[in-house]
Amino acid sequence: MNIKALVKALLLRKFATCLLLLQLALTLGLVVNTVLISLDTSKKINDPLMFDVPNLLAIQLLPTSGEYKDQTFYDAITKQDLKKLTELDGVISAAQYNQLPIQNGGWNGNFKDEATPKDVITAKDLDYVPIFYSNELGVENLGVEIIEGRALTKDDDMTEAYYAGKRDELQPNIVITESLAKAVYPNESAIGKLSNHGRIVGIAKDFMVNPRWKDRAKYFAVFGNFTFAQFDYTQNYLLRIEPGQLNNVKKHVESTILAVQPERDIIDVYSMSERHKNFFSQETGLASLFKILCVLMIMVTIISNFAHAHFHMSQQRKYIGIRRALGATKKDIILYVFSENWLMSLFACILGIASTIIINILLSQVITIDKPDILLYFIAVSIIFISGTLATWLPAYKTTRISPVVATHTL
Amino acid sequence: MDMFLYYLKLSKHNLKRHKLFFILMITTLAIGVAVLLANLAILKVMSSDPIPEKSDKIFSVNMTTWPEKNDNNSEPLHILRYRDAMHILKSDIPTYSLAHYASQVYTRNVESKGLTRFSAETRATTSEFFELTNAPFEFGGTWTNENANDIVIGSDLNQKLFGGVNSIGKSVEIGKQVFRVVGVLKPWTLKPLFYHATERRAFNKTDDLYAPLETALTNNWGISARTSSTERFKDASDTRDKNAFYMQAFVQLDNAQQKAQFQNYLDSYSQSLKDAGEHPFPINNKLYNVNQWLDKNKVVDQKILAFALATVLFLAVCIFNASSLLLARYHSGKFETGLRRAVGASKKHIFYQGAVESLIIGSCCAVLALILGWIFLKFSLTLFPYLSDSASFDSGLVFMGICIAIITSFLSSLYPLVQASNSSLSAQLK
Repeated sequence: MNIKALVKALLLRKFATCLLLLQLALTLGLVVNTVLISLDTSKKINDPLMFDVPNLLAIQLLPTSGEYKDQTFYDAITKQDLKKLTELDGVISAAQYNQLPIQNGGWNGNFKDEATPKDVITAKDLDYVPIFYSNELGVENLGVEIIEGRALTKDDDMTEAYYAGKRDELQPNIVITESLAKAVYPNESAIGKLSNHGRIVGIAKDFMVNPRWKDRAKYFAVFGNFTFAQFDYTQNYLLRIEPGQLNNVKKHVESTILAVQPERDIIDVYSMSERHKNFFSQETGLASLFKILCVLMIMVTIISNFAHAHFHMSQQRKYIGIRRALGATKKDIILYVFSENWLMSLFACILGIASTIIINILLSQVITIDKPDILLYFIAVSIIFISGTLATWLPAYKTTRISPVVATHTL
Repeated sequence: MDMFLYYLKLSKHNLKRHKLFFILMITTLAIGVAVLLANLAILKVMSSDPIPEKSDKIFSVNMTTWPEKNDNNSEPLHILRYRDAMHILKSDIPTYSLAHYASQVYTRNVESKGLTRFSAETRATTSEFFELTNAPFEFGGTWTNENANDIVIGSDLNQKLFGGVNSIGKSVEIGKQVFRVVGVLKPWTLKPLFYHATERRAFNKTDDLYAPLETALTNNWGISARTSSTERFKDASDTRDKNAFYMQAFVQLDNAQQKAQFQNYLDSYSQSLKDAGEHPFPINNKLYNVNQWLDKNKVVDQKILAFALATVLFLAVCIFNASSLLLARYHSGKFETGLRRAVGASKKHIFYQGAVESLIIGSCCAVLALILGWIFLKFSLTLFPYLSDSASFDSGLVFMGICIAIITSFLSSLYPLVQASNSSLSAQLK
């Protein structure tokens, strides 16, 4: 194959060739960066959650009546709600939480050993440790195991003492997650230690608390046995449900709660899996937009490739006819047309490296995006080659039908 | 004019003859413009100035008064303690000043027979809130006593509670207490919601209910926004003398002198706290005007911005595509052009005719782009639900869409046109 001749033929239509090259290079750049964004999103979504997400049903509600300002009333209703909800067919256990895992912001506090001097600066991630208040079932209800020490019990309930105004005298027992224990007590067991949130009696296995936080901080959590009864603060009930029963139970939740006491606004009832999905809705949204754009761009590029090959060939009818007359076979001609497209794609791949890097740098100014890698680049290059070849198929096939007689027409 | 009509006829004929070719070209260009347009619609809402008449005069007050060293709050904070906020309100330097916190309550018309209570997004604030934010009153006005059980309600809530009538003087039950309506607002859109642009709330609706700050605190209306505290507090009223940071403050300073004076007022307050050993950081108080404040809080979604970049590139690809298609089309139409030149059409005429053709392509492209853009916008909004009631196509955007379509169509036909009109007569007639 005479590459020099091919390049010469391409140069016959400098402007069109340059346009197509630019177009291919930009498409390459966008494809690589789209794949990067999509991979990053799916990596985030597939990060193991390590608690019983598929079988958890969350209910968010708010009392609408001033009666709930009375803590004993609030507490009594909550206990009744949980009792009735647990009695529903298919429900394993139910508990109230001040907040649920997998959320932005939330109820966080600094966590340190009580003996830490005031002026010691602790690690930044220990300043925002999620504090969960629930009943003695709080940890188990999530499907999280205790790996050291013990779970909280009914005797650890500090609700009454808290609302009697004795919070400062209390030294509540708490359970913390493994990562948090290691972060605060790296070389010793945390069991029995006194923290600024209470005495540590148990260590729970790590589970995903905040997927957007970094490294170990994702798994930080403190559990206390306390029914938070603030009438204008959203209440969260979490039901652990036997596999396959979630939708059945969901139907009965609202009526069960309202039957206990009707003056409540059931804000939402949803599965933990939905919560997880919604948590990443913006990331998946962006990835979908990029994917759509990518498909559109590849389509436009196919059209361009087609048009380029088609018109280039019609322009070169005469020359192809001459070549046929001089003995070139149909196969030779097809190879010639394809080679031209492949040569274009090859040039575009070289330009594409620059466009990939530039687009990546521009995007990294506004969002976090990984650096492009070689494997991805090759995948994108093969997409360009395949789509280019497909688009050239028809014009190439048509050229084989140019009869050698054409040569005689124009001589 | 005659020539223009003739060109129109000629272009129509051309378009008809190469139907598939022009459909391809118009569709690709239209998709490019549509995607860009949908994105611009979202960006336009996000980056708009919510209060253009005085956005440079309203300032968010950020202070460094965090009392402990071992924390990450050394930078000026937009959340303030009760006493810091009160110190700001005490000053008579600003034209208007306000402090607020977000809450949520359930409301019931006391005269209603049912027990249904309506959820109301609530702003516990001070009486100058309405003057500072230019909130439009339909009936009544603000409260005069910061401790009274007086409230101002938004148009939606007035509709739900009282069927939209003038409800001044009517009573509303909130948490067993009775409140009197003293003001009703007209429907009020404020995008972005500059007075609460933090915690991803910049595109929330304006509040349903406004109540005096002191009354809200006394009644323990919960704080439903970022709260940072160095000590435990039992409830909202307990925060008055605690180091609980959650209030936001805004002031209106009409001139540079006022601003300098107020900055000085804040700094000397911080200095007095520092002197008393109440905070360990250097004096660092900041005043951000509305647009600076929205910028600082990155109200324009960075993800949408990233996508905007990609859509611009996509449009470029579409223009390249259209241009190379057109070039091919002019090449194949060489003979016809040559013939027209031979019978007397000048280069200028060929160019004009091509320009008219690109105008027609541009117009078709504009119509298609607006339709596709609208569909694409609706689709984008399903992926970003929090923007769903914010972005839409307004007349400005439609005009912009038409312009972009015509310009891109002209841009893509420019080089092919120059090529076609410049080729030599003899070469074409050979």
